[in-house]
Amino acid sequence: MPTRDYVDDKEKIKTFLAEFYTEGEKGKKDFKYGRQLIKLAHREQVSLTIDLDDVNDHDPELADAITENARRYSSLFADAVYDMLPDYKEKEVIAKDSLDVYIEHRILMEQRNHKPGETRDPRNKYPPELIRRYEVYFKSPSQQKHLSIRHVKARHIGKLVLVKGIVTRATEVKPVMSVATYTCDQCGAETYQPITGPSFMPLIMCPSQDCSVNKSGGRLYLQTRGSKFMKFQEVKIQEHSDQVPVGNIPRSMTVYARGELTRQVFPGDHVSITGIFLPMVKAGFRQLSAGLLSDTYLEAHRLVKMNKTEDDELGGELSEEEVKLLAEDDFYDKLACSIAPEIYGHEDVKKALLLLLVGGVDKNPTGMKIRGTINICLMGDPGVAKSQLLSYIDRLAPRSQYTTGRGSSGVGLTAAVMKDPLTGEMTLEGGALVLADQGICCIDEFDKMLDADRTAIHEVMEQQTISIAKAGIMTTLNARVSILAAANPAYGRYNPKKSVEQNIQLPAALLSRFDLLWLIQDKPDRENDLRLAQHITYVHQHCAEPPTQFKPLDMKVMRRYITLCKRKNPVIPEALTDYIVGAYVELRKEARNNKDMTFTSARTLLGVLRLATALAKLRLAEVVEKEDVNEAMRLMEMSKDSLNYHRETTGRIQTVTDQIFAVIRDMMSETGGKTVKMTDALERCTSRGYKPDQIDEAIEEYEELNVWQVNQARTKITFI
Amino acid sequence: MPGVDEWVECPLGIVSEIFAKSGPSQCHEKVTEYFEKRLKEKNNYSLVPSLNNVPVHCLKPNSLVRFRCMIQDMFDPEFFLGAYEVIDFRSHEKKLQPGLYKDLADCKDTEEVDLNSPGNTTMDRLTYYCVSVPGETEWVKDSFLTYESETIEATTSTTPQRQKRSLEDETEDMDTSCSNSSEAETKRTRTDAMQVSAHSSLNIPNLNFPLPNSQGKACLVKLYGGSESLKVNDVVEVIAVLSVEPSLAHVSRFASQRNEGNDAVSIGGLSEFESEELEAHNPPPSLVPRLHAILIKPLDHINPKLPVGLKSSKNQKVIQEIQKEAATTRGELHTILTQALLGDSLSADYLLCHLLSSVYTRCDVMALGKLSLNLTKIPVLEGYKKSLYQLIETLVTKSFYLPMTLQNLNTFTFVPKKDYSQNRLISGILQLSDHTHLVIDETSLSTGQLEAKGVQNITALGNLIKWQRVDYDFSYHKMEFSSNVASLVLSEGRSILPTDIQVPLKPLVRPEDFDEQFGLIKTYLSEGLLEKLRNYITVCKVLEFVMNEDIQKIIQDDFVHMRRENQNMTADDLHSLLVLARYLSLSVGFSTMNKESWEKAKELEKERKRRLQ
Repeated sequence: MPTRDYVDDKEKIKTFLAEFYTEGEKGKKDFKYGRQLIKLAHREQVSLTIDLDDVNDHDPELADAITENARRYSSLFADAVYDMLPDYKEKEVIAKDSLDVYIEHRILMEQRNHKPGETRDPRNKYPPELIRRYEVYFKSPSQQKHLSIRHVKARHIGKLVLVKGIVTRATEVKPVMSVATYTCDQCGAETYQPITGPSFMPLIMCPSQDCSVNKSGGRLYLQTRGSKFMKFQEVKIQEHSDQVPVGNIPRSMTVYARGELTRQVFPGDHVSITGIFLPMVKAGFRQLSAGLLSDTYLEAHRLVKMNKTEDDELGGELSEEEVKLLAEDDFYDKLACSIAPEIYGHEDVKKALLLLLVGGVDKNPTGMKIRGTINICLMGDPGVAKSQLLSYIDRLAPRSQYTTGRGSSGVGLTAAVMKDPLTGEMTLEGGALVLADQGICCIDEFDKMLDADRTAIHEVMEQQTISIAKAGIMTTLNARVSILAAANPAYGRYNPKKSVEQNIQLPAALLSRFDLLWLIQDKPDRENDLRLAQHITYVHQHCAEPPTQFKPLDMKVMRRYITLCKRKNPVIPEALTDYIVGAYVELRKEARNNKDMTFTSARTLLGVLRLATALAKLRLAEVVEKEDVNEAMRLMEMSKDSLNYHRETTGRIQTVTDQIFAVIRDMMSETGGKTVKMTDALERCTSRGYKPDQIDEAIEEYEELNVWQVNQARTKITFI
Repeated sequence: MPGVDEWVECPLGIVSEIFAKSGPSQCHEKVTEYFEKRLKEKNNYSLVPSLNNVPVHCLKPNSLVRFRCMIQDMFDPEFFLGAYEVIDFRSHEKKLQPGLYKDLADCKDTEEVDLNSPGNTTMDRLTYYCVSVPGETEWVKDSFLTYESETIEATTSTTPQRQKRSLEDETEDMDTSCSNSSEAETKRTRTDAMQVSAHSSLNIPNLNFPLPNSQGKACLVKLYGGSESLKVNDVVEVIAVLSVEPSLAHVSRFASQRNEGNDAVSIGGLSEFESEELEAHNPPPSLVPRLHAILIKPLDHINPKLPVGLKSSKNQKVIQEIQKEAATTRGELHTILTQALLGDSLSADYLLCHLLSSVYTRCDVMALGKLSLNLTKIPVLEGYKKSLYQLIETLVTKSFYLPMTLQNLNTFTFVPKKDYSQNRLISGILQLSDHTHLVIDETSLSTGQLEAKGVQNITALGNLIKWQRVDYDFSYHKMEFSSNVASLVLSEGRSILPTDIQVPLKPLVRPEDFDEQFGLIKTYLSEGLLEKLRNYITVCKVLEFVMNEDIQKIIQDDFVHMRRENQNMTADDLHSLLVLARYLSLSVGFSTMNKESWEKAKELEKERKRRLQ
């Protein structure tokens, strides 16, 4: 590569800074950098960020040169700005700090010492670093991809790179000397020493003309007041876990942030950093001992805190191919089946979970807040892969928290007021629900949670906020979170003879806050069993998932698609309202007729609406259609069925005798006494369709079992 | 044969020659090629001394060495001058030198490195922190040692070398003698429940061995050529240039002094946390020698009697040989295990399958092929567990005995944790390489308070057993590392750990007579038989296995049938059955699933279930 003419480049830079403009509104020219230069001149702005996109528009060659040799161009830009600033000065600058005053004094003094007619820049004796009160930074082109730390290699040394990572450590911000000023004890002359490296050798002998001519041997003393210090912070970043190949240890990198870039990030932040990858300058003994090695660091030019997931997803839009794949007819099923593909079956549950990921639409009609998030509770016998579903959702969701009921207290879920051990200040520490704001909170073993702790969730589930009134702190935190809970039945296995509340021992107030309750059961069923067996044998044989009709979608594609869906805000058209109202009324009636295990309330209607909007979002549509409502109702129905279905199956297993016994026992609890009239019992049983001889048989059998006694005249049944 | 000596004793000379020919960018490839060729020559391999057997101070600096180790940590890459120019003060002559495979620039007194020369090329290399394979059993070490000293004596010819070798032999002998005594010692400490923490001396930096009380070596291996296929916890053999440059120790000392201010005034702020990190990353080379890897190859097993790379076609013959005899070997092993388990044949069947088990694939989160075993109703005799473990130890290549006492749970570090101040991964007990056998003794658990750390440790142990993965703690997030560790839990009642299979022991012999039983086993186990058994176990772990369509059909139908009869039959049961059948087939030398094995597996399970009731 031919060496570039830097003098020429400096001129180019000047023209760029002066002439670059963007077309603003009404064709008005907006001199982006010119405007900023004026501000710099007036000390209203400190950092000047050069967007390489702009440089590229202006002069592509220059932009390339900058990326290749960023350090050099950084100083070239600074020099150019230094030259240009006086022209941009429009008014007297008010001194902002002591260094400003100091510089002003020096410049004035210099002017006084020289005759007015002399054509000499009054500042030139001072190192430009001392007088410059601005910082020049580069912003890498927007289309440039983030490198992972792993991929920053030796060939990147000296170049502008864009990396991302997580901050693991950050030092305190400290002043770092950038120009040392000395005064001589003999002649009083000032000497300046610009410092670039991490350490420097202090000057001792006065180099001024007076001293050197007189050989007076003036000693120099460092002046703190006259030296220029810069804010400096050392930051360590580490690779994101998704950038690390399986089985490797994440790598880290040291980042130096100076001036305005300090205090931008804290440990734990996800950051994207534009910077120059440089070898560390070593001096003295270290240079010798370290031999051929050189430590490296990244000199930060731009630090951006980012939301890990958002950036990831927005980084790449879905490719043509992926969109096509998703646009196929059965994409809804496909998406649903791609959730936890290793778990076999449970399509409807997966569909519900898919909708939970997408979520409905939040509404705020006149102050009332109607949540759009969908809450789901999975119940089921132990070992039906509830936890696997939960952990899959936790992995898939861009933002989520996973806790178990046993390990969480109400405070741990909501927020805790903590006393800072250093300052003694009260601080709020967000719990899982707060941290999962606008995401999903998966709570496993929901039933194992203490009641007192569980009530903390009530507010979150409907109002989507957490109110704190503790230790003098009164506040409301947002917790727009979807709750996905998993619960085991109270007595190990789901008892079909008991209601939902009894089975998982959760209060109705909480249960009704779940839009969908699913009971996942492990039932023997020839066809399912065979498919399960085939699945497992296939996995063992081929070490892979069996080839179904579709390939499960990649998690990343799913994530991107879901983010895409989340951006939509579909509305329910006027025309559909009647249909929905009708359907709801039907649901209510139905619920009243057959004594249901679940509740149908206004919340159910809201649930249907949420599901329907989520479905519309999933289609990337703007308007909810009738099919969406139908599918929402179907899911609602299926979830109810999953709770009620069991009854039928056990009905088959239960003998007729048992059923008759249950009927009579129910009568007992209705009357509240211990006896039932035989005639009443017969009547009730026959009305349920049992034959008289069956009834007699049942009564006799249970009499033999000593469950009840029948009196001599066979008119009364008395329970023991 | 001076030529033979040269490439071992002074590999850097050869590197310089190659460098002069091929230039900096091609240098590593050419060097690798050259040494690969050299090592293939007859007996040349054993000419290279192994760091596992020879103490560092007996080795010549900058000579070629071998090291069998596990990658414990991966440091950040280093940037170094791959080629640098030296200038002679007097003659002003410039010379380009290779910077590969060395820590310090080598210049004569009259020379100086020109750091600003345009001829300098900066390159990057990876630094891996490697430790001796954790849990490597004594017999593996011993047989590597004897094997090596034999071959060395057979091949040495020139006198100077002879001298050097004999010196080595001496130290080796010394080593063996002291390792015998230390073996006894470690045994004792192990069974004394490893109450004391491993790191007693404060001056010696933590060498970061995963297992407490383990003795071994640690090395910093520098990797050239940018290959990144290796993973943490891989077992590798490195052939490398040894560098023990004493001046490297100054780096760390200097770093700590530097903050107090030396000749130059530090302007503060800069690299405040560097000193701690530097110290951790630059331990004294006498303790942690630097190895500049020329060749690095992953080892699929560390059985000294078997060739490396069992799956490759050239070793097919060895495998077939072992497979042919598998049925009889299995019989022998079964008899021994039955005897060890006090005459319980069923438990012996399970233990046998357990010894052969290894994760052969992962399907999303599930690890297929693992067969963790929980032997319950273990006689509460201290000596019995010890003897049982010793038997297992003599059979497998890597093992570790973990007494699950409250104190161990509360004090030991199980899960490796990233220490950001030192920027290294602090190892934990569960950082084990593949095919390690973990024997967990739950009988030593007593009632008492389990602290937060203890709870985490138990969860980690549970995760390891159930999912074959360990979540390393990176404080801001957790990273999953898959493992392949067969775990055997010995307990009185049902274990608190989620094992795949639980078998209650049903002794036919009085448990008090276990000494007699193990005595019998000891006399029965001849060296030849032991070698056969060891090879058998090693080979069975890596064998390929297939399941045909027709047997699949049978299995599927069987499962449906079983489900109908017994509602409690779950998918997990089918998994265990399939895995069991797999190892039953493999154990008799079949690499396809056959009906007999399937039936046998069903039978075993039925028998086991009956025992559980």
